[in-house]
Amino acid sequence: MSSAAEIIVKARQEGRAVLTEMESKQLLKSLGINTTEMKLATSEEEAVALSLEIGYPCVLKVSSPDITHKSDAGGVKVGLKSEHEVAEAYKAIMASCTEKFPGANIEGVTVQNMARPGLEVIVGMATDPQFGPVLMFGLGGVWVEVLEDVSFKIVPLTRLDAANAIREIRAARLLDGFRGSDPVDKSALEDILLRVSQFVEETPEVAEMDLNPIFAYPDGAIAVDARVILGE
Amino acid sequence: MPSQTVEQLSQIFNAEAVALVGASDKEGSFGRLFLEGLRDAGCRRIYPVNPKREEILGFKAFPSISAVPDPLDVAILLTPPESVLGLVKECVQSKVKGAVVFASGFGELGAEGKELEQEIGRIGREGGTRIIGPNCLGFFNPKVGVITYPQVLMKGTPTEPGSVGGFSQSGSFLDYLVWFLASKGLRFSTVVSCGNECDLAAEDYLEYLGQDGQTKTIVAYMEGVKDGRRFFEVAREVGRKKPIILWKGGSSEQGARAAASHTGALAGSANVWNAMFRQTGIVDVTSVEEVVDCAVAFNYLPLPKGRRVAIITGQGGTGVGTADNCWAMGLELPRLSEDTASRLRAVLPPVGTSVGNPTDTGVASLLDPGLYAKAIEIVAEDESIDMILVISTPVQACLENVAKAATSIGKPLAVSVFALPESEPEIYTFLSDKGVAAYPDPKRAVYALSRMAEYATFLKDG
Repeated sequence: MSSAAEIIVKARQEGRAVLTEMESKQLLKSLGINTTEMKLATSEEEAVALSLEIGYPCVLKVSSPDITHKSDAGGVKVGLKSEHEVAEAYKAIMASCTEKFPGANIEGVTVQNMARPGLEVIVGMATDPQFGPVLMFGLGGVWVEVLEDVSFKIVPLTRLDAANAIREIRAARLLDGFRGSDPVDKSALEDILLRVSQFVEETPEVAEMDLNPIFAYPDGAIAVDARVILGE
Repeated sequence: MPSQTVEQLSQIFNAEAVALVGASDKEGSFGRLFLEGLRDAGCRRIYPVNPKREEILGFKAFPSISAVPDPLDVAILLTPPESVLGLVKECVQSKVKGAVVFASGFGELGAEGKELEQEIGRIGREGGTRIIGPNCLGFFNPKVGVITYPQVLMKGTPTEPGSVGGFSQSGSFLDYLVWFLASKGLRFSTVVSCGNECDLAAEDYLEYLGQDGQTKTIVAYMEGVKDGRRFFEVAREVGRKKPIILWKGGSSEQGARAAASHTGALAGSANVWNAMFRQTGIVDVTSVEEVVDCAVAFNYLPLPKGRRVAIITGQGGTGVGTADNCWAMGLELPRLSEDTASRLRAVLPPVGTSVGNPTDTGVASLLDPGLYAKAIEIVAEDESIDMILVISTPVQACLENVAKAATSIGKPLAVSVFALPESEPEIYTFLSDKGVAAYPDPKRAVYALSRMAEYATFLKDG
């Protein structure tokens, strides 16, 4: 497995500031952060073979450094339950993406296991012109854009900072279990915040990160999508 | 161990030998105002510098900094901007420890001025003459008799040394604040105007005040920060040692952020400063009134153990409305213990009063000036109460008893009086002189207590 440094060097050599989802998740894995399993397929046959290996239901996502909003490009198919569905999904993704992004460099599709549903949260990082790296925690998925229910902490975070980041969002009660649902594993979320904090402190090349969504469970948490952006 | 910057600042702020470049005896000039100010404040050795004069106001004048025969701690430069670079070079040669640059016309005007001030900062820093300013109002340390604040000098502000330290990126803000806080009975350790921060900056002053034994509370106004990482690290340390009351201006200029991530798009300056306040325990405020109200509370009151407040009022309605304000600002109003309640019933007349939280002493308090004080002493002993808010009638005998009780119970107590400072200023002077945190509106008392409770929680949970 590649180290974070190797992934960053490779992207730099290729003149890219945005890491692919695959690279971003490999990077998170190297930090000890749990992510969904994913493998790159460069053909329909390979996608089918990988889906058999990963198991059903699975997810196919276009892999292209030129396409950052994959869903908008018709580049994401979820809940695929058979070889046939995977083959059809591969064709549909390729057709849609080449039509919407003619000339885009499309490496293929990633085949990913489908994580069981959890409470969607976001952990992110940005670089403040005055204070340097800062981390964000909040409700994830589409809720980030709609509610902007987030809290910020300046790096480096202490364990208490991480706990406070989680406690300070307006929807904190959701994480404590709501209407019969179990409380989510906050220490797993704190761990993610602390690992990202340590990583960005040691890696000034990173300008922005989104781990969104992270599915938070009563036991553990998993980053389902991720994006890492390098700075100047 | 103090950093080198702190040691240098300590030499500057405790200056014994001060050169005043641009000293004058011309009526209405800063050169005269400051010379008289230094003289009257008891500055030990004053060296007016003015090539056109042999003597000014009885002081021997010198033609240049290098002509001063004794080692200098600080040179205060009142001369025009074009003279500053040369004077700072002269300070470096004469081994002056610090230069305070009043002149404006540098970075605030544009790129050229910015370049010049950076050059001045670099030459000073590397040469061992640390620079305060330019475009600043200098500093104020009554203990050693250095005062260069125009309002402070012109209004005759009391200048006994005290325990409030301050720094501000707006010079005149602190100049006025010193005056306001003095009227509340507060006195100062060291107060400094940051100016354009070509060398020394807010983070350096914060570090200095943080380790200064005389400073118990820090008040500040800021708009930006030169070295945000260092400011954060320093504030994290100082915030645990003493309260930092900070008004951060300019938070609304967020602008649209071009960002490739959700996080980048949301990480506006206001959000990040807020994160800083929470992580460092900084008491962030947004008005002059809030700065003053918090400074009064943090200076006069011990920190509460928790957020539980008891209200003792002489007027039922105001007590109920104030209870709402307490809840809205994160304070709790617990039920008084059975023991407390029965002891209160024993001292309060049965008619027109009510025991509870709030406790209403009714009009009976007008007839018995000791009633508030008795109620305060009983409630203060309740284990479930961390602090007390008294809404008092403006009767002098009554206030005397309240003041006595307020400073003896060992728990924070804020007083709100049914009297406007405009109509009855003597009431507030009386309470300030007794070291009582007094507010004309109970909501302001609730605000100050809530900020204290918040800070106490920060210290406890960390």
